[in-house]
Amino acid sequence: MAKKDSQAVAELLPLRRSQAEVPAPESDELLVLALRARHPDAGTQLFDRYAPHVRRVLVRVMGPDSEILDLVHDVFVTALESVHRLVDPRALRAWLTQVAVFTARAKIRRRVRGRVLRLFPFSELPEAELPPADFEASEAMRAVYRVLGGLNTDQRIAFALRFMAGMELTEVAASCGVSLATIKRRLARAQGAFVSAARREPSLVEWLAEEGAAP
Amino acid sequence: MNAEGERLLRLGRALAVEQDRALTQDLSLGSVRARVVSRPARRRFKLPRAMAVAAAVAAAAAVSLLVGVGRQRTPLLATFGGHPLSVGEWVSATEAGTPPIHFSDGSQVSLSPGSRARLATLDAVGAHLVLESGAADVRVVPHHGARYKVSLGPFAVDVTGTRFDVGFRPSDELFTLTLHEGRVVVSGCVLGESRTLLAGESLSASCRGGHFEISAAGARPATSVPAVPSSAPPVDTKRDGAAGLLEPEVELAPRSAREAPPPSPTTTWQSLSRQSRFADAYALIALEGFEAAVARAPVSELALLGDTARFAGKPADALTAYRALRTRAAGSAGAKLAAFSIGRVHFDQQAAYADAARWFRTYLAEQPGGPFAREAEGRLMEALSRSGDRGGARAVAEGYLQRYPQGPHERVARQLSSR
Repeated sequence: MAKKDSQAVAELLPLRRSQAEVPAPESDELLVLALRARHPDAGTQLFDRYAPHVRRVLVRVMGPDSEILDLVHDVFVTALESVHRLVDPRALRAWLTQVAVFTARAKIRRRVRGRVLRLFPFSELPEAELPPADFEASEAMRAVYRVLGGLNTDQRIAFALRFMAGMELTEVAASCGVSLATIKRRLARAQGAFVSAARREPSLVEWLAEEGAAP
Repeated sequence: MNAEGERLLRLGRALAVEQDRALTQDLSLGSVRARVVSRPARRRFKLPRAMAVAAAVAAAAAVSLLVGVGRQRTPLLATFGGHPLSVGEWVSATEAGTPPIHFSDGSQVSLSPGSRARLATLDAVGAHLVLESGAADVRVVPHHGARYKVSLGPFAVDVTGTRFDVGFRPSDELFTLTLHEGRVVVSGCVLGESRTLLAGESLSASCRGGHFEISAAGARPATSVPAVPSSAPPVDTKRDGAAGLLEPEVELAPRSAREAPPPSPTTTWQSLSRQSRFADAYALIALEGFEAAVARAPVSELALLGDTARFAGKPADALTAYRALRTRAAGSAGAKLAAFSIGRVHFDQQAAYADAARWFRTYLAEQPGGPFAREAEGRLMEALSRSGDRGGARAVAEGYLQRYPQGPHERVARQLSSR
């Protein structure tokens, strides 16, 4: 860690143990400095500030999944261990989103590899047992993630970020770590593949029907 | 954006709202927070460039050797009674002395009689155990990265290495924990996202009562939440006007055999039973024969006899006592409650789900607003589902959701009603 960072933290965020006395780092920039200085409360601050956002991103990408909390854990462990690589501390939120997206992508790929290694056709794999929190998923929700499960991993992620998380194209590109042109091509392919497969899902037909057209 | 893109955005927004609604009801993020912020910081150091290259080459060689041997650390193994326990399997402790669940890292979980638990996950560093009801003695061996979790209704206990007794009674969502060693983080319901307990502390929390109490071990909690010192009766035996009836839930305070003093010559089975020493109580009853005891017992003791046999893991004898109560005191509050207890015996101890469903229906018909109507209805839908009556289960689930939208079986009900 650079010496000037240490000085900045020492001036802005005195390392006092009592939680009541420690001021919350209000800006992301200051929080990153505190994390790099291993301030005792910085990890907690990071988690409290961004865990809901990270979980939301993961839920959008993964859908109802029994391992969401484990993924949230992995995202923050990764973030805490690699915060020194964050170039612009003001971009903390976008960087965490990217870490979440990459963590989800690695998980999806591991699962796909696991299926291939077991030499099972996808259709014969038993459905994973959903945890209680996922019982509330509607049929449309299940259908969307069933269709997304058939897409290529990068397309699935781009689609989820664009249409489920409602991100702008530039945000999707940044979260996936690719250029705007690449994400546009990827989304076009994802959209085509999704719509084509979704037409076979009764619960999605109405959503995809043109205005005034019979489903 | 084209019209198709707009339609997809509309669909995505609708599902996002649904996801967010589910997330606001889920407080489990607290358990992750505790794991993340309590992890030890890693010391980072830099290698000289040449050494780093050499290290990378060596690591690549090591990885290539390991490919095919295994990509991940070996998951722990769990066994119950000497047999492998798989993820998703249920375990019931039907009698005192039921063997503990053993994990290959040396950790173990001993269930108290009448308790039911399910192994939800198992990985290289720990396990997630769901304790549906009852109590357990949990011993987690501390080791690097150990991550165990015990869920009890709306509560969760995160463990890295410690020893504690924990219990949960679904009927009033009462959660208790006594920590003997180490430190645990508990979360859920009235406890919020995380609360740390230290060795020697006891916690009791009631979701329904909306309060909790942390006290030093041995001290009595100041609130009205039923405390669970092992010397105290587990529940109010005068509840519902049914004198002598144990509430038809398991006891919360686990008691290992080494803690239990031997019965004195003046000890009665009734006193042992009220101290939750059901195996000892049953052994005393068995000296004269259980059926003879039922025949001789006054009506006021029949429910206690049934409860004693049930918690001692003797379902046939429990049914004998409960049926005698229904015959000899037909129409009484105790007899009505016995219908619920009979249903529980069929469900928990005999896996006779059709019979269980019939008795839960009987209880609901006789006491539609009874103290366990909600539990009976929840159990009824589960029993119907397990006995293959999906239509019946769905109908009960829909009624349950209308009457108890926040009930403990709410999620199961949603699953069943959506099938």
